[in-house]
Amino acid sequence: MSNYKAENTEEQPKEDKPASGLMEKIQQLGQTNVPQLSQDSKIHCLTIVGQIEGHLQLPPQNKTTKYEHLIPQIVAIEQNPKIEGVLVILNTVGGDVEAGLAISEMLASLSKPTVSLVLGGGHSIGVPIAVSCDHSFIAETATMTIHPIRLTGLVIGVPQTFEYLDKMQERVVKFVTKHSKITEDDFKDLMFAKGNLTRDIGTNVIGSDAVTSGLIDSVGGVGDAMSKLNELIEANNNNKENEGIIQ
Amino acid sequence: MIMYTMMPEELIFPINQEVYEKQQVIQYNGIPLLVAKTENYEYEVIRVLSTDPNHYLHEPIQPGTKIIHI
Repeated sequence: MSNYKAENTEEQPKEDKPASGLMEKIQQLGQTNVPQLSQDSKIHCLTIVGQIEGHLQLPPQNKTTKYEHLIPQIVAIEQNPKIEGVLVILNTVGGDVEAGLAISEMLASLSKPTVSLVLGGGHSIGVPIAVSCDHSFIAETATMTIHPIRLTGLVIGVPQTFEYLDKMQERVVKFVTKHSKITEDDFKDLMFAKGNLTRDIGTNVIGSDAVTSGLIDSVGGVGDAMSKLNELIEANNNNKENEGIIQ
Repeated sequence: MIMYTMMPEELIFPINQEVYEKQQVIQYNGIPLLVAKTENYEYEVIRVLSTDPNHYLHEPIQPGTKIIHI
């Protein structure tokens, strides 16, 4: 195989480069051509994929959302006057509680309109990130697992560790109930429910179930999310204009 | 050998430092990219980390392509 390749490159040195570029494109993206858009985008898109990485760096084969890259990006979005809104796309299994809460707090305190869309899964610490936005969407087939927080690895075996964990859980519950329509009792019911998950406690809410429980605002896809975001951006701009007239 | 433990895999089988060093995040024309080093100054794009959707349509930095970065 390698001999054949070597022969080929010797014969046609000019054609080798575009052909290999094409091969790489097919391997990585499954297609050769991607559509082109106009250059100025007033909506930025934040993708929360794979595991949410905390202080411990995961091996490179893991797909991760790195908070040290995301947080400066949120700061840049806040500062750039050309950016008018943010769309947050979630497909995450969860991960580090503190990193997840950090991203959630950053999104919740962003002055620009934000819309989140849960596709596939927004599990565990993905839940606070999904509810942190001004309006949240969930795809009909997407799921969210709500479960008590837990720790793997080495812990110091003292009663204070348990207390610390309990307080950490309280922070997650407080954040979710503050930023969504779900009540604390309902959320805790889902969190500690028995019999829903095999050999575990918690609940797996799917699409419309998340909406009926008040956790997510509506069921929809990317089209719905974009039109809602444009609506929020328009309302935000009108507010700014009105303020200008008063002053 | 069967090892049944609640400990994370990384803690029992630590990953070589070289594996981490292979991948890095660089700024390429102002676009943050996750890249893997292939040759001297050549890198293969693994992931685009930008929030601007237009950067994902930028032909020279499509995942899989090789870029020259010093």
